[in-house]
Amino acid sequence: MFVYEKKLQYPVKIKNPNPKYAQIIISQYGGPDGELGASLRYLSQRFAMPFDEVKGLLTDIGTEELGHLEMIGAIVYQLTRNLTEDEIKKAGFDAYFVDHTTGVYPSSAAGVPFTAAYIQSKGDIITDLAEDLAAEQKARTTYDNILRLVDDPDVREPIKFLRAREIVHFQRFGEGLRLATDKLNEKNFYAFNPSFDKHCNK
Amino acid sequence: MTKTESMLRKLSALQFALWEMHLYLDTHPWDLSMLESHNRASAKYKQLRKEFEENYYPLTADRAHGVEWLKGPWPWEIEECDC
Repeated sequence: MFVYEKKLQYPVKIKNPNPKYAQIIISQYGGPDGELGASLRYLSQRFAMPFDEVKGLLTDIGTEELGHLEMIGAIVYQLTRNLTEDEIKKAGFDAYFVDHTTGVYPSSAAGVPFTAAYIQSKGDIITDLAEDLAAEQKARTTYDNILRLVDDPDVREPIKFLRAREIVHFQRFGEGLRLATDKLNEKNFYAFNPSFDKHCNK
Repeated sequence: MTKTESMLRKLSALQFALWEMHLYLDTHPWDLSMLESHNRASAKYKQLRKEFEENYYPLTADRAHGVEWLKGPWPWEIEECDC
């Protein structure tokens, strides 16, 4: 089960609203490499994981991603407060506004709604961990791109924090993959799927 | 920065250090010296958290109910003036 903590993992306190930034950053809420996909991916994949270290890793990182989802929601919320119709039109936020007002909705920067097609849960430990490694790098690149487009230090600081977390998670998933393959037949890791074929471990 | 914010930052920094050690221990469960560091920091964290919840506000729903739980600002909100 999950227990809510009434705090953010890293503080978000944005003095100046900016709907243009909100429209870019919403991609890390419900876009192709966003935090919603990340948490669903890891928290779903863990059911097929045979090894305790990786069960722990997927549970813990998946849970942390929910905290990141909340941070991105807070950033978008704070960037879109107290807007006038004029500011909305000038920033090009009108396309988002017409469907969601200033509500936080999981979509990409281009307005594509979140879809589970962004993630995979393949029921194969090597396949899933390879996807997870790629997912962390894709999110890191997205944060790098956000940092190219955003000047406000109030926005950059929490984004820099989230970017750094992607790198740490990549490192941990790499270790998870190594721990997993250490338990398999080194002559052919793919001879069996340890998530499906029982008693195939070394 | 308000006093509440600065206390919350202190608490969050310690919580973050603990979480980093926790993730590391997922893939290095045999590293007993890291486990020891974790447990030392954890005792400090528990003390600070207790002080925070006594002096400022409850952090989890098992600690407060009704008005006490509902009172803002919620984590995504900011007070428009520092008054």
